[in-house]
Amino acid sequence: MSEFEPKIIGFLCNWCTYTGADLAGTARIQYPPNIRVIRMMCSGGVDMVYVMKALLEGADGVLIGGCHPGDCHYQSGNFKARRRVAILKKILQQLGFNEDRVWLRWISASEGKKFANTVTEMVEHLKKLGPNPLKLNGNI
Amino acid sequence: MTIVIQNVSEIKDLIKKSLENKLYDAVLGLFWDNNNNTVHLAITSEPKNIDKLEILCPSMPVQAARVISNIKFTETDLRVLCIVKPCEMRAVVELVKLKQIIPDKLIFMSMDCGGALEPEIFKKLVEDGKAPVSIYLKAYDNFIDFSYETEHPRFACKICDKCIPKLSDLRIRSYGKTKYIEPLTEKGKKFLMDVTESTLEQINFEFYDREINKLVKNRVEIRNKEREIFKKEVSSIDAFTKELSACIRCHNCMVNCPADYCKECIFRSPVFDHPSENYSLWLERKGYVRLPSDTLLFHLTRLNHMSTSCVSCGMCETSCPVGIRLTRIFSFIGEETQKIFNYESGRSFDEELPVATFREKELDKI
Amino acid sequence: MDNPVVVIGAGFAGLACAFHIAEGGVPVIILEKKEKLGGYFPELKRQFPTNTCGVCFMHPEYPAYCPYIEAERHPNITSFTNVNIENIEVFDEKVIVSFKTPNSFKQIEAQSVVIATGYEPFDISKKPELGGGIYENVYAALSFENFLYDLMAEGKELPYKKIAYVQCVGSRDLKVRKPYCSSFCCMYAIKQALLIKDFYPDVDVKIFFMDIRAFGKEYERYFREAINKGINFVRSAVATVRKRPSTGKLEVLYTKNGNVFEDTFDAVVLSQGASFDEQMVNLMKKLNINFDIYSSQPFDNREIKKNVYITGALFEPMDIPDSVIDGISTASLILSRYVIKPSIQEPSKIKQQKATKIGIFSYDLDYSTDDTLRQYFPEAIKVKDSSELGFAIKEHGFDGAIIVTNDIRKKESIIKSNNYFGLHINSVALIPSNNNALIEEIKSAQLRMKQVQRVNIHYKKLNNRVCIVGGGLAGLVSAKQLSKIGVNIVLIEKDEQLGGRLKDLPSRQELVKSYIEFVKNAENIETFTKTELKSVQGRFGEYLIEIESDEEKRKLKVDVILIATGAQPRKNVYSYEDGKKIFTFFDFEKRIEEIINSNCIVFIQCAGSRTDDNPICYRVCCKKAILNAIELKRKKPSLQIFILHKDVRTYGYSENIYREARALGVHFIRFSSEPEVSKNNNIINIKIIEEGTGTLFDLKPDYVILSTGVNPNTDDIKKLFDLNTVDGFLTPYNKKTGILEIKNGIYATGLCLTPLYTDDVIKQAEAVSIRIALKVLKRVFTVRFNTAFVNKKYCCGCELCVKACPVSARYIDIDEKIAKVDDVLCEGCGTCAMVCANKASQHKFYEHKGMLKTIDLMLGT
Repeated sequence: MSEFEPKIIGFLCNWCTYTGADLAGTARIQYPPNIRVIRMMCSGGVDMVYVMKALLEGADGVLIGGCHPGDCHYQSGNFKARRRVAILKKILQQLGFNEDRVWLRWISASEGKKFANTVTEMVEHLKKLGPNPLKLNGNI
Repeated sequence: MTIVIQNVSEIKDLIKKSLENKLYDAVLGLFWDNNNNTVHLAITSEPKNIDKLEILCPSMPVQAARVISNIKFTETDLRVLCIVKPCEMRAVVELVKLKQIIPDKLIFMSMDCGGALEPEIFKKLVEDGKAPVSIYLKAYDNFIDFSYETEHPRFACKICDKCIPKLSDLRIRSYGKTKYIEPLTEKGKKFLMDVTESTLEQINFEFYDREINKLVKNRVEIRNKEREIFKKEVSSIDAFTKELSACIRCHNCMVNCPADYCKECIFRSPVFDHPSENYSLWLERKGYVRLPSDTLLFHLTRLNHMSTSCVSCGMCETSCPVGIRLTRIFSFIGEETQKIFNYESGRSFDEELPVATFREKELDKI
Repeated sequence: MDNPVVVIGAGFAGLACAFHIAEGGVPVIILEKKEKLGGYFPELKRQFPTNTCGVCFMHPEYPAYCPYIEAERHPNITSFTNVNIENIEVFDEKVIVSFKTPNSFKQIEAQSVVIATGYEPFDISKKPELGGGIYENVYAALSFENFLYDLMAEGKELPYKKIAYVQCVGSRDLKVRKPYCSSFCCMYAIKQALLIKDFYPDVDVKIFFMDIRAFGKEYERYFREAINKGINFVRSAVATVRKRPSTGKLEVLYTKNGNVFEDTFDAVVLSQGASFDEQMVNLMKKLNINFDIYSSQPFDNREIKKNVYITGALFEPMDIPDSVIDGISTASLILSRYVIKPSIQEPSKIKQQKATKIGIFSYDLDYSTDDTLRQYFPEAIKVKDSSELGFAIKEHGFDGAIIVTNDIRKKESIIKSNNYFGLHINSVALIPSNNNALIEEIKSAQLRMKQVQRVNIHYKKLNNRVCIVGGGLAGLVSAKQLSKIGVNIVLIEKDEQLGGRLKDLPSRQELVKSYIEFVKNAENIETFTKTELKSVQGRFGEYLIEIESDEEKRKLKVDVILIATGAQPRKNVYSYEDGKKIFTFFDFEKRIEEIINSNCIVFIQCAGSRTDDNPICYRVCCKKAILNAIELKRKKPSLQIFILHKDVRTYGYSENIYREARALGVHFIRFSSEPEVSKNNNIINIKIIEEGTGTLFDLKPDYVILSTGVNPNTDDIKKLFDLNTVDGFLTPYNKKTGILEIKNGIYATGLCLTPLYTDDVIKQAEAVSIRIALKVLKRVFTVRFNTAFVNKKYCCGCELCVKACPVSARYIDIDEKIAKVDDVLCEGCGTCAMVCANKASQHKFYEHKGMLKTIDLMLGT
């Protein structure tokens, strides 16, 4: 029986998290290949429709990466993202969909190791949760 | 500082007289149609039409707030008296915050609401000669909650615990044999002083408040019960998709909802006009695609966009042709998302919308 | 002026200096001793006083990447690492720097050299009595910080339950020959303690200190936050740290008020101070520079030799915000030697609205990646460098390019400096090759590029005019610097004369006069005295201000407004202040002849500050009072002088004057409860209880001088510009390295921003002028590639996007009642696109249709 490999979509903010992920790459810090990265300019530009679409199309988890609160390169984008993600997670929780499949993490450009750790943690966590129940459900 | 009313028709006379005296230019409210088949929302500038106006009416065929936000009333000098139910008033508050309604030239009159019937039920009762309005008024007279007296209660009204208006300009205390019009704002007070020659009286509402609080408490209990049932039933994604399995993507819920203020919904725009190559990709991936696509996404997006402004008016369920129990979903989930920010939709003009602001230190455990 | 500027040391000060010089058009060569640029930046991931990182705001253009990444990609900066400086020879018009790298030996002819080598952390093995270098769980602060970050990143538990911090290790210590205060150790110990409390709330932290030097902007509040969070502060002197072999725990022996105490801990962190490194000492020798670290100012001037400057922590140990301002001000001094040429790049005109012919390029890739690429995209063109790329684009007539390459950020910068090879900025996409979804990314880029509506880029022509509000020292210095660089100034002063507060101080009059002379004679400075700012309208680049005097009213168009309104001395804080015998510090200088004929003088420090209602430290009072006391003692050694204080905050080399004062016989009495001051028949009586010993002192001074601090003049300015203040001082855009900017186009400097010494005010004013000059002299502003736009059909004017925009680039058009975007202000974050429910507001290149398809592509099958 082949082990289930979760698919993660990552929306990473260009200035901090994406650069941190790049740093992990150039410093040869290994992280699992399960994550597909989409570069956004700011975590505040990640529309919740994208997150929901990713989940409904079969992504097992969604990672939103941004600058630490107070460091947003556009001053306050991450604060807004935080509110939106809180609303989305509450909605998912109320509907019985495990809201722990959506992670909002603050990773700065110098924290390549933290990025690698976050992805590894997320893969392990999703393996425990199992595949997305809506994965091959065309009935939605 | 209130006006005492012995009969509902006195209110109508008051409105007619003030329209004649040009205190305002038009009245927006529920009017009987020409053949007295049913009521519909209309706006009139002629005093003679006020005879057809029904103020305490157990019907809400459209959400007045949505209609007012569509019209906007900004380019003319039209001053309008709007007679709205408490949930419509709360929707107005939300829309004012979203800059869709400019309340400068509008006066809002609302009432302590006993509930409403679905439009088709109302029409049928009228046809069968059962005079729903008189039944309604009788329930009011005796401090009886109409929502529980009728055979076909509207679900949203059954569980509504915010049936007392707090932010309209005028409030009609509609329970009991003697009715009162109480001003809640300066604008309302001025209106009353202009409109009536008799002096405004100071009334002690202790008894009234006590009785009405009993009614509200009852509603709260029912609401809590329904919330429990909802949480048990719709607590898994399967149950949710089951509920939505009948959805035919008519978009009525979105069209009639006052909190969905967008001119053109994204689901009707080219963004969701998928080219056929998308379908081949989906077939390759899932092997099965429900058509039209993105039904669940539509409802989830609606939840995301408007649940923080949901006023639990129930228009979504009223307008759904296939009977999806949308009130439950949107009202209870809306409650939860609003709770995160200690926000209540329609509670105050000054409370900033949760999606329009942020705090630097909050939501640590996200 | 084509000779480069050499910056030695790529730490905070060095990089800040390098960026500003490079942006000004002068080539910069950075020489760094270590393997990587950045100094301590990569290790100090969180910085005080916000406990987050914020160094990228030092860059003159933001948003920007981390400074060490920006340094590697700036077209005007070349850097060498692993450098060993051989020699620096100073000639009349140039400086020759010779240095060695592992592969080569080079000599550079530079126009100036900036030495920003900073410091090395004190080697704790020089304090074996504190367990330094002996016990495993006695840490040096820097290595403990790295250890902490590793644990936090991995979510692991801290293996210690009780931690002690020992302050002043390698500072204020004559035994190890480090007499000065390192200025930042108190703050970083508090920072580490706060981080520990945030992440590991059960851990007990105790800080053993002599004085807590939290003197910067809002540092006192940070200190109070630490106390509120339960971090223990013990004022004491730590004698030894010993390990008990049976338990493995560490015993800390300390003295407090003459008694000896002992406490046990799981780990001890030694807050190491700043030391000079060997290379730097040798460098100074080569340049024949002598400096005495026991004096109050080892280096008189930042320009230690002709065209050789020192800056940053090398000049005096200082923290990150101060180092950055120091570096920027040095850049300002160098650049103000000549008028900066503005840099304008004419963007190309497009013929069609949407890109049709898009080429795929493999730029500087290795063979295996190139092969993979070619499997899916056989039409991809392989190019080696930028000229081949430009040639290929022209030859094939492409109007869009998807470029797959490595080292994205450097290549971005190369393509930008080549003016995008004639392509529209929305039609160039860079995709990193080390991507596990490369093919999907390229497909997604193709799709999105085809959808982007391109418009001809327009400019915003700037007026090259800056308004400076306030003609005090800060305003005058910035006026001079800006005028020298070539910016036109409008200087507004409320009073009849220029010079502000300092013109009344005898010791500062010369200084102020020299600036006033320059300002009066400069051709591009227009001065208005007895004039006030009445109203402000508009945005960056198009501010319309109205100024009013008794005679006339005027309307002016300016690009940028610099607030330098300064501050007034705080008077009448206490009822007993009578202005005759009990007066504030400001009047000291004028009355020194009077005071000297007395027997006993008392200085009361922190008068009305560092209290619950006013939790601020005014920074300058400790040094000032001690200098005044020394002056009095020198003139009349028999004079009895008492200085009553809470902490003595003589940071940096001013620690040396604290020692000198004590040696001269000045009495320092520490208090925690307010001294009781009373006056009966002209006799002043002060009762004060010394903290710790509990001794009651009964003093009968002839004069009492109160260090009350200053009241910033921000009330009117606050209302005019709708600004926030904390403790009365303006709050900046970013509290660490961006403190000079308030909002887009509004800057501040001087005492209205933060309390400072006169010398530091001059530094700060120079720094802010170069920041402004670099923006204003660009003359034109072009838009970014990813600005937002509005689809008119869908917008209903709900204003959510206007509220969401952080730079006020969104506004509602009053006639059409829809939202619009100011293309030039828009920084391209996409928040407005996220907030807009029906996507009337979209983000170029991130349009919704394309993004949804991208997600689909990424998920594959």
